[in-house]
Amino acid sequence: MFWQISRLVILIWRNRLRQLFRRMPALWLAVLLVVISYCGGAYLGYNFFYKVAQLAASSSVFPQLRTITVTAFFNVFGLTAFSLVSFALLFTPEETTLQRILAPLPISPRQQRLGLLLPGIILLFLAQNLLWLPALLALIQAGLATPLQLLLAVFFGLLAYNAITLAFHQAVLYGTTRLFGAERIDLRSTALGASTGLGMALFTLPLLLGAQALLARQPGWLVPTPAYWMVLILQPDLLRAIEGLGLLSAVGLLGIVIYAFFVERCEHLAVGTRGQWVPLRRLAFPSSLFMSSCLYELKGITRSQQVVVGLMMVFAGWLIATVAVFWARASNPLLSYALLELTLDLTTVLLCSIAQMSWGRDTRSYRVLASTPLEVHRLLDGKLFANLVVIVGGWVLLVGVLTWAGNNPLLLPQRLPLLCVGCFLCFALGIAVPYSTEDPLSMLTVAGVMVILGLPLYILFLQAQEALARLPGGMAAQMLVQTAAALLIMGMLYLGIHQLADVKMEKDHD
Amino acid sequence: MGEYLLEVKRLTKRFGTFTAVNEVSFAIRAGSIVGLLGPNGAGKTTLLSMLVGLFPPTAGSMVLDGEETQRVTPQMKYAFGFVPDSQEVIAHLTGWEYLQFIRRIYGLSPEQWRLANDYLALLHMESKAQDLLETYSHGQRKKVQLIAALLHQPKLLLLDEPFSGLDPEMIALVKRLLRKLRERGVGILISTHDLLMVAELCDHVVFLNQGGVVAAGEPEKLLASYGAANLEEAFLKALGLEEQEEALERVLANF
Repeated sequence: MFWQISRLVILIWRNRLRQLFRRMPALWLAVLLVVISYCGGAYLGYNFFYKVAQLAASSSVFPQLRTITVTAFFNVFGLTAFSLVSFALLFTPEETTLQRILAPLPISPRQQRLGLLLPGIILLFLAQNLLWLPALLALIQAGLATPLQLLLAVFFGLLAYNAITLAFHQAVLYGTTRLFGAERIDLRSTALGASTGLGMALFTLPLLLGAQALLARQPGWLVPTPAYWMVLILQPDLLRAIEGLGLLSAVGLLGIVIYAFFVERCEHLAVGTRGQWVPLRRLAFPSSLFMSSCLYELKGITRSQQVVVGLMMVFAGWLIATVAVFWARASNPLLSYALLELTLDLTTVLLCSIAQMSWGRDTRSYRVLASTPLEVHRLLDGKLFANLVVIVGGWVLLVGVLTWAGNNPLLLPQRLPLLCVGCFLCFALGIAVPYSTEDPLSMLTVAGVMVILGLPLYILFLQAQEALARLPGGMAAQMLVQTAAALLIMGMLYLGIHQLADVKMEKDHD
Repeated sequence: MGEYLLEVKRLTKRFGTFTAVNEVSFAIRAGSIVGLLGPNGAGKTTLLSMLVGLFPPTAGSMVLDGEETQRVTPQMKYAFGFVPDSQEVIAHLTGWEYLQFIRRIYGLSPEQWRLANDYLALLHMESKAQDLLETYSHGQRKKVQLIAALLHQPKLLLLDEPFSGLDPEMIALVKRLLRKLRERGVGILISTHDLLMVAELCDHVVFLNQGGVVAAGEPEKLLASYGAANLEEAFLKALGLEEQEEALERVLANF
């Protein structure tokens, strides 16, 4: 029965495409352009991968290079597979019209879901293969694998990666729905967005640590990754190939079982599940209006699913990175330091983005709040202070442990002023370009602005650090100047925030 | 204090070259209900936003609590209660927390605060009070907003679509509540699209269109001056929309 639904989905896609091309015949040109671009890209890609594959195949320096190179390639393969599935899920509406139409029909929900999923999965499978086709051909041509070996490795590898991805997202979705309740708006996109971010970080980690494998001349801890199991299939030794196939099939099956389990659990949680996540419920508003405003914001921060889910992911990423920093500290100090710097910068940026969400979270409340004797400026002060406390507190805790793990504790006081300025800057940015859960483009705009502003600001910060390092008086003088400069900038930003808020409240009404 | 609880004097708001509210004047007496009517984009929301102090007018002034001002000060806000659109809620607070927050902002006395539970019971909201406002229906939000506006016992109520989302039982109850408040000398401004409700409740009506007042007065006098059988007809005539009938006939000609 599920096949009938899949056929229906394919039929709908076909009709929509026909309609689209009939309405806009110029689209054929775009298709032609895509085909040409793909062929050109494939040609260049093939040449590049062929050279790399040939180098790895002919390397006599150390025999493990071949395994490490192919494992690194399959890691990237896995990352793109994960990303494609994640983005497809992210942009698929939760409840499609088709699902509503099918609901009253005598078809079991499992069959319906399978029927609806299948065409998408096949399409994704094809896209994933097509994307890496030139590289796969280069591997065969360079003699790193036979076509049959590669076919098996790619098929079972994709099965494992796609099943893990689906299971991972569905588990996160289930957890967040349990926590926040099914009635929360845009919970699905929040959960999927955050789990995509975390997943991409997790997939990137083996790539970063691939350098460690190269230095140690052995796959090291690339061994427990599906990418390494894909490489096992390419081995001439049949037993090892079977080992790889078995591991990938087992993980694939396990992923499917976990996915199916959580899908069923999620269906039980459908509409009506009350959220259990209402922290600080017992904390009553104090009589001081400033403290009440602080608590108001604190409740807002701790109850925002975007912030909480995001923080969980940041924490998970931080935990893994901290372990890696600690683990690589003795064996590869350079790698350990690079990881430490990367994690520190990411933690700083991600924590600062909490302040960026503050103004947008209350967009719908300002008229209500403005009608009360509470001055909006006093509320703003409370919001700013609460954000500063949460962000600095969280940052000191996370970065404190991280810098301790990397044996570089001085980075903490050195970067603290930057964090405080970042917090104020993000708060101001959140007023200028407010975050909105109702507008998916708002985060894109914010991200764009952050990228445009972030890079020059970061370069400026690095230059300032260099100039500071040349100051006489050593570390103490540097810290003093840095703190004074940060306080000055924060003061200016504080005034700007209040001005901006006035302008924005009027403009938003325009 | 003068005769009026609120006097709006030639209030104007411009956003760049666009005039959202143009020299609007009206007044609300103690113990009266004034209906503010107008099509979408007439300037009702902008007008209410200025009255509650979200932003100042470009020109004009208002007399609130006996004091003439351009911008409403925090002290003046004790004089009125405001029920906004049901979308405008502090989503991350529970209903009960929202009322507690209001309690702190207005510095409510223990006697005033004790009424919170009575209001919740009256509006059948006790079981929902511990849930986040985000999860409330439109009607439930409206009820909490109404309680929040009434807790400090203001002399003036500014209501934006007060009946939207409410079920018939609650509409009847809120109407009775508003009438009783009027009897106790409270002045009420209702901004709405609901002509029937205005006809039933209001002592004075202000028709707004394109930012300006096109007609104002007691409902009976408005009906007489426009020669209309009901408020809907008077409203259409005041806004110059009678030709809609011809347009309707034209589009339905072949049915």
